[in-house]
Amino acid sequence: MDNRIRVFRWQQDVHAANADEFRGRLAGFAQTDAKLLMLVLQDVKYVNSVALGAIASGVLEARRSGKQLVVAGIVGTLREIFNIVKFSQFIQLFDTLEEAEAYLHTFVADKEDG
Amino acid sequence: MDDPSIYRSILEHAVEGILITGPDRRIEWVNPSFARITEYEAEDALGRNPSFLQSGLHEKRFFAELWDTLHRQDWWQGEIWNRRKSGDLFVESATIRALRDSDGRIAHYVSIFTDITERKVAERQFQKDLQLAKQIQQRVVSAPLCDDAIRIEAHYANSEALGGDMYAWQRIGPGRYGIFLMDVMGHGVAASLVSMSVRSLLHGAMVRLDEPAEVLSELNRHMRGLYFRERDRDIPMYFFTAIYLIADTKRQCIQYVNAGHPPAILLAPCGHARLLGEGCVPIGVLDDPEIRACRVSFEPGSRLLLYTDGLIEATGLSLQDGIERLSRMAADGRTESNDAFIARLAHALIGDRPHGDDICIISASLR
Repeated sequence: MDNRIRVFRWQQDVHAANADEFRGRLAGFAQTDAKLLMLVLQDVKYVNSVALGAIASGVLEARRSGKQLVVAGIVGTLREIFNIVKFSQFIQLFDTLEEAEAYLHTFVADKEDG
Repeated sequence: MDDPSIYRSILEHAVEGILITGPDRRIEWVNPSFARITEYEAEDALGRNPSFLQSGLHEKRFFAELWDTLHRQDWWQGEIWNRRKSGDLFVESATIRALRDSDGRIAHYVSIFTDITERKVAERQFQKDLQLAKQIQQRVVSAPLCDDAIRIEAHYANSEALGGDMYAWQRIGPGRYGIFLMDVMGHGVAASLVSMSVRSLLHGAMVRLDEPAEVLSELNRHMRGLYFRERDRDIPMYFFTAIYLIADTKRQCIQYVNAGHPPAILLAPCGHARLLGEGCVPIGVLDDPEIRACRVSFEPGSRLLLYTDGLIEATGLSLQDGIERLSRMAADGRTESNDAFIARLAHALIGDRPHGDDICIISASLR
C-alpha cells in the first residue's frame, strides 16, 4: 500500500453495542494528518444506521479539510446496505482495496496536474 | 497490613452501609453509614434481626430464595426495598456473604449495601417518560383512510426501545393522496424527537407542495437546521430514511422519492411486483442533495406496500433476499384485503417474537 494512504481497518459488524466505538474511532481517523484515507470494511457483513451516519460524517469532515476518504471492501450484504441508502451518490465505494488505492492515486495525480 | 485496626477503620469509614450478624442473624455490629442510610443508631440495631428493616413490599418467597441462595453458595446479591426509621422506603443494592469458621459452620453474615433509591426513582420516572413518548408517537400516525379511490391501513409494531419510525398520509387534492414513511437512525429520545419534529412540518408541506421532491427538500432543510454537530462533535449525525409518494388515482400514476429507504413494492393485479427504490441519500445527510422524483403508472386494483427495515430484519434474511421474500408474500396476498394482508405479514414475520427495532407496515389498495 502506498505510504501516503492511511488505512483504518474495521473487522466486526457494527451494531448497537459497538456503534459508538466505531463512530469515535472513525471520527479520530478522519482527523489524522494524512490527505488520503481509506476505510476498509472487507470483513464486515452488517453496519447499523449509526455506523452509516458515522461513515457519512467522516467522509464529509475529511472533505471539508481537503482530504479524501474512500471506503473499500464493500461487497455482499454490505454492498446491499450501501445500495439501499444510496451512499455511492457522495462516497467513493470500492469492492477491493486495490481499486480504492488506484482511485486515490488518480485523485493525487489530478490534484498535482491541476 | 497486619494491624486489625486498619480493617476496622476501613469498615467504619466505608460509604456503604455494613452490618454483621452472628449465625443466629442477630446484629452484632453496624458502621456509621448503616445509621446514615437507615436512620437507626447502632444501639437501636444491635441484637435485633435485620428483618426489622423490612418494608413489607417483598413476598415471603423473596426472602426464602435469598436465604436458600445464601446457604447454597455463601453469597447473595440483589436489591431490597427496606424502610428507614422515619418510615420512608428506600432501596438498597446489597451483597450478603456467609462467613464460615474453620469447621465450615456459618459464623457470621455480612451485608454491604448502597442506598440506590434516588437512582431507582429516576429510572422509574425515565421509563414512564419513555412509555409516554412511545404512546404519543404512535398516536400521531394517521388513522386508516378509506374512500372510493384508495384504502390505506398500517401496522405499527413497537420494540422495547423508543424509536423514530413514523408514517402519515392524507388526501392532498382530488384523487391525489400523499403517503409518507420514515425511519430515523438509531433509537432513543433523540430519534423520537427528530421524528416528532418532522411530523409537525409534514402535513403542511404535503398540502402546500405539489412535488414529492419539494416535500423532501423542505424536510432536508429542516434536518440540516437541527444539525448542530458542527458545534459539538460528540453529537452523531442524525438523519432519516424515508419514502414519500403521491398516488394520483385519476391519472393512475405514482410520483415518488425514495430517500435511502428499503424499496416500496407496487404490486399489479396480475401479481407482478415492481420495486420503488429510485431516489436520493437519506434526509439530513447532505446540505443540498439532488432529490428527483420518479414516476410510475399503475393499474386499478394494484397494491402498494411500504415498510421499515425492521420488517426485513424480522425475516432473518439479507436485505436483497428479504425484499424478494416480501415481494413474493405480497404477490401471494394480492386478492386479500389490506387488513388481512397486513395481519398475515405481521403474523408470519413478526409474530410474538421480540424485535429490536420498530416495524411499520403500510398497505394501500388503489382502486
